[in-house]
Amino acid sequence: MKLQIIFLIFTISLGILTLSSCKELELDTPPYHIPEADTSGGTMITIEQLKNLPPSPLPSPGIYLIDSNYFVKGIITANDESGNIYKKLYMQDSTGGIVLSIDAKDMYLKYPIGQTVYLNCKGFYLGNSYGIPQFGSVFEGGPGRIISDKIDTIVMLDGLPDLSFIPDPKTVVGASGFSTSDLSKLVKITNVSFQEAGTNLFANPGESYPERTVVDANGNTMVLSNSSYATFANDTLPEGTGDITGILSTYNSEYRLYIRDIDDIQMYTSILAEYFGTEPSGWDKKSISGDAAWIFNSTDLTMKINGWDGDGTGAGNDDYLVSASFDLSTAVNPILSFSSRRRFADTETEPMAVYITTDYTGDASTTSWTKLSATFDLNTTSSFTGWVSSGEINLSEYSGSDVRIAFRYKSSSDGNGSASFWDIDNVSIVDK
Amino acid sequence: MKNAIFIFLFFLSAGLFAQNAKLSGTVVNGETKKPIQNAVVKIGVLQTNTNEVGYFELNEVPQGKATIIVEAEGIASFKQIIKVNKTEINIGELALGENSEEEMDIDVVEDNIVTGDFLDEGDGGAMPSLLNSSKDVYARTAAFTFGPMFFKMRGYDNSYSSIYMNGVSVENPEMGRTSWSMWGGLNDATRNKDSYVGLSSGLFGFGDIGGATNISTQPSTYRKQNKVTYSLGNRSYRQRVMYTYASGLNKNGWAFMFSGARRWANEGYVDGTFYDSWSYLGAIEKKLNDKHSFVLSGFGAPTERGLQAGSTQEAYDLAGSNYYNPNWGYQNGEKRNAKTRYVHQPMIVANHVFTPSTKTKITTALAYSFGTFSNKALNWYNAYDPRPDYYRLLPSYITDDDELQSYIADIWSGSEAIRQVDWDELYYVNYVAYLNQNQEENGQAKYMIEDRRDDHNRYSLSSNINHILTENITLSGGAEVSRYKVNHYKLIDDLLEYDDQEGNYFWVDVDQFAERDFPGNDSIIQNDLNNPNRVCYEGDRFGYDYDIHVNSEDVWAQSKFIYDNFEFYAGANVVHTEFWRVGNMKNGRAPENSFGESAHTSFLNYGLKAGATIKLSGHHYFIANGLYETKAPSPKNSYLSPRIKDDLIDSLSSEIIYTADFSYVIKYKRFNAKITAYNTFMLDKTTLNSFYHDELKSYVNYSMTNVDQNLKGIEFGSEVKITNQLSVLLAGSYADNRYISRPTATVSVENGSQADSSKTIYINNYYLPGAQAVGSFGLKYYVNYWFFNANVNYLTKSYLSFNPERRSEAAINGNTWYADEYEMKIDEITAIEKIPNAMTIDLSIGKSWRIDYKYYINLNFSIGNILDNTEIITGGYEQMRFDFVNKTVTKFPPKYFYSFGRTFYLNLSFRI
Repeated sequence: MKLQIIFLIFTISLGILTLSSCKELELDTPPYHIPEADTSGGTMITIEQLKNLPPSPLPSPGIYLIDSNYFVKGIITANDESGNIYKKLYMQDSTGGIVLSIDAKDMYLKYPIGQTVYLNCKGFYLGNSYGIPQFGSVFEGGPGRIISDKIDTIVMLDGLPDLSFIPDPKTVVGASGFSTSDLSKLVKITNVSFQEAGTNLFANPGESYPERTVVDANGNTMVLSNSSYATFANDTLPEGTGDITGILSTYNSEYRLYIRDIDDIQMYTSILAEYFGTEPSGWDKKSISGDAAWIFNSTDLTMKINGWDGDGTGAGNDDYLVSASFDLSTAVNPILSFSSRRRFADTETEPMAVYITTDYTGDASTTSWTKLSATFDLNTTSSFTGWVSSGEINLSEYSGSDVRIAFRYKSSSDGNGSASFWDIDNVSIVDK
Repeated sequence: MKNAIFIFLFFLSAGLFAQNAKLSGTVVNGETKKPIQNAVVKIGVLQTNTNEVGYFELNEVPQGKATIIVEAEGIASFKQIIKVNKTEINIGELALGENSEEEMDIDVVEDNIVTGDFLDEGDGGAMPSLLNSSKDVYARTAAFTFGPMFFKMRGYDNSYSSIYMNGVSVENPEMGRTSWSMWGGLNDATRNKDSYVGLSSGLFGFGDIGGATNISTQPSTYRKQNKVTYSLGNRSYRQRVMYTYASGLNKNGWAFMFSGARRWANEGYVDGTFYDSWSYLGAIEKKLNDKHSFVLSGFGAPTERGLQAGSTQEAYDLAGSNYYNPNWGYQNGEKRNAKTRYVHQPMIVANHVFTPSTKTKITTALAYSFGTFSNKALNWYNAYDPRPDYYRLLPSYITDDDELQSYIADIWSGSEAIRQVDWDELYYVNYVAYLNQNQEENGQAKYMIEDRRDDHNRYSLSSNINHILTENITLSGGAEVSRYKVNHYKLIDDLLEYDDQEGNYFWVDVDQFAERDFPGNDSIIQNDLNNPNRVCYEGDRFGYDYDIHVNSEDVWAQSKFIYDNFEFYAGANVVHTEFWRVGNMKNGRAPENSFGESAHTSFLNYGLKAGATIKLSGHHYFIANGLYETKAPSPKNSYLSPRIKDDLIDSLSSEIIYTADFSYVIKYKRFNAKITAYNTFMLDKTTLNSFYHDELKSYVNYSMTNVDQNLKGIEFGSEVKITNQLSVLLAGSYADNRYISRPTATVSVENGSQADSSKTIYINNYYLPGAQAVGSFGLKYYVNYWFFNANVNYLTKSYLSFNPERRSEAAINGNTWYADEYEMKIDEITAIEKIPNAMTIDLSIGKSWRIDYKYYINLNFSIGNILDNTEIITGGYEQMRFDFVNKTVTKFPPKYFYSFGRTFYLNLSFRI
């Protein structure tokens, strides 16, 4: 019997031994090649240092031969994937951006955005192309493209692309505020609209230099240079207001923006856009006290209120202008903005304020309101001095609800003859 | 060397000087004590049948220890060791128990053949039904219960088992596997088998690691009978009729046997799959005297069937059934299947059984087989792919238009016409092409049915000897010579002409795919430069036409030593194989190496095996077996692109196999169990797949060399008799079958648009496809000739067949993956897909009647997959295409095969 048990144990342990190794075995995978740039024997310089290599800024057209063993490390910020950029790559480090002029197509397959690269500078040229410093070669004595079937020995890949490597774009509100040191860098302009929104295309077929202007609330403009070969060329210019990211360039000392793809344009979703072209429907007016009332100003196309009763003896006023209900149920980051203008002083400490509620009773006096923080015109002279923007009022804590806002006007009741006069316009809520 | 092969390794013993004995006895039913007529009684090479009163007599039984074996239909066979020490012995009554395992007669192997996109798909995969009767609980369960789910014991495919018919190997020498359909339907006339599973010793050949079987159709070994069987089912076929007559050995020494069967279905379980199979067998035996018997047997099974094709899950879901079959379509209101198979491979065997002494038996066989293996399928010329589930026709192909996508999904699920072959359209397109024949670009039919045929003939001569050397030693050995030739070619079967256009359409024998890739090159596009631009009509050969010749010579020898507590055997074989190709066409893509006879390739292989059994007591056995062998690559896997040229695969080499197993066996009256541990290495394997690549618009041959595999695991089977009537069975196995190398893949494109190229495939430690862990729990109840079986079965650790391309360097490099996603992407491309676990419950019930001991009626009814689980994937494959540009695996999703849902089988037999 002992022997039998020994044999049974022997067989079972053989079986277990046979199978025991299987847990740790790792399934094969083919080798994956992560590129590594070889910069041995060279000197690392920054993009700023590269641009400053020529003794003084080169007159255009001019070229400068780099004959030292310099390497420049940077991140690819733009390529030719959408076709809006042609035979160019843009790279950037913390000191600046530079355009690489290369005679090759479909470079995005090898140089995706976020790819770390090392420029192997020796033997190539720094040129000034229409006021923009570029890394390239020589063509008919002036700046030209690099022609090589071994681009990857000049623009060397290093590691895997990573979108987190891309420097945050310099962001300006509106379309102004750049300097020449921002050229060839990734930048972002906010709160801008296309001038030909909804009517023109990004580029018409065969159009030589398709340029489209965007404008901000203050009338500043920026020109987008597009290519009729871009994948989005036949798209209609989007309506609304939004942010645009792109590479800053220049032409005839005017800034130009090259977007990399249509995704670089982030239009906001409009939830409420009330410009008072007509008397607004669904808005309530509620006078708590006084004779004054909110009135639709059909001349200026605004909503106005004026507590002045003509002789300065009237009682004080307290008036609500309650907006129509709007739906924030799908909004992620709703932003309220409006414009105001004012004339005349009032002893009332808060002649105008904006409120919000999620629970409108139908009567402003019985509704529980929450005051929002906004900027109002402080002008107290007898004439208007211009519109003042409220600034961005974040309503994200009300996401998911139906809400109303209200403008509350007050004038003093001290009888000393003062009351301010207000116009409110451009009430908008967008989801950014 | 060839000559040496013919020299037998054994010389015959002149016999020992001890006297021989006459042994007699009576065989009775252990329960009823009634005599059993026509039972077969064997001692070594001696054999006789019991008479009406169960009495038997065997003369010339050698002195010493002998093993007596008694077999009778419906009765558990009986084996006992007796001591022969007198010249006349009556061993008295041998009481046999009734067999509760009446054979179910279900043709496991025939079921559920599903085709992929591959060429050269034969039968195979499933294990043969003959193993149903195995005494090994695990082997029986694996064959009967898991066989239909494409489970392979130990992960071995059918080419690792040896099958002999009357002593002659029936393995296809080109493919290296056996086609069971050769004798499909002849269950009753092929019932006498000598077989073992796994490593063991045999009397009829060296065998292989999966086991060996010798089927005997010698009429005198079959009980005298007239038997009619009728079966009704809903699997591949719906009805079966079988008739078998066996005469038994008459006074003049003649014995006859005849069997005929038909199995058919207008439509099987799967839509569009018809089945029409006839089978016949005739055998005649003349026993000249005690020393010489002659047997002549001939059989065949002409079978035609409509095939099912695997499809993607998207197509199954849209069609609302996992048995959606894209192969068929309506033509004039009738279902026509575009993919049909016809097989008829008859075989004639002449045997000479020579028993020069009671210690020696020499069986010699001369065999001839011939026949056709034909696969018909659609072909098309400069026309769109007519397969309804072609990937561009499915909603998933539309990625940028949701509206269109859902429209296509709607019509796909809503309209049967959309998801089946549109025969009317194909006829119409052909007709329009015919009308425009005078215009240059429309010279011929656009669609047709082609018939890919493999016509073979084979001569074999084999001789085996078994000789009892001493009381303890038996020697066996043999030799076989085989001459095989197969002609591969294509015929134009049907040019899809309207009735009144018969004979008007034609087909120009050029490679349309080469035509596209080499415009203006008039010679490269030719399939036969000897007959350029040949215009073909129905019945003409076209495309390719070549012969493969395989000559082989095989010798084997084995000694077996049997002692009271110890058994030992050792065996060896040597096989010489020579093969070559003869091209009957001069192909324009390979003008120098396609026409005429190629160089001959030959291999000399050998095998060694040995095993021992230690009987610790009558109840405990310890068994160990080992084998080392080399195996020539099959000619089918050796030519890189055989339809085009005679190039051999680079570094073609023999496969090396070594394996060992250890078993512990417990045998008690009410309890028996066996546990086995095994470990097998298969090294330097070569594989070749041919498939249609619709991007390259060409057939592509995909060869892999240096494929190493390690298959290891534990098997367990036990049976506990709780009462005399009720038994509990438990069987299962757990394996770890993996690739253990990085093979080299070579791709050869038939239209020549790309040069042959090689690459490394990274599949080290990858799992082999198929289920690797199975378990079954069964109950058997048997009383008063009623039996009842129930089984609960479980399959797990199952993997899909993978596309090697996705495991190459090119598949994962040269892209723009980001640092935070590349590991996920690599994993997505290279990960191996696990098939969901599956559970089934099977039931069967049966009853047999005996009337006056003259008439036997047997009725059984079985239900498979009683829970009607239609979600069981039995296998499948990743498509052999890969989107190297975008590297998305979803573009060419895998195709799956599903196990049938609930099926039933009713079997009624009547025997006189």
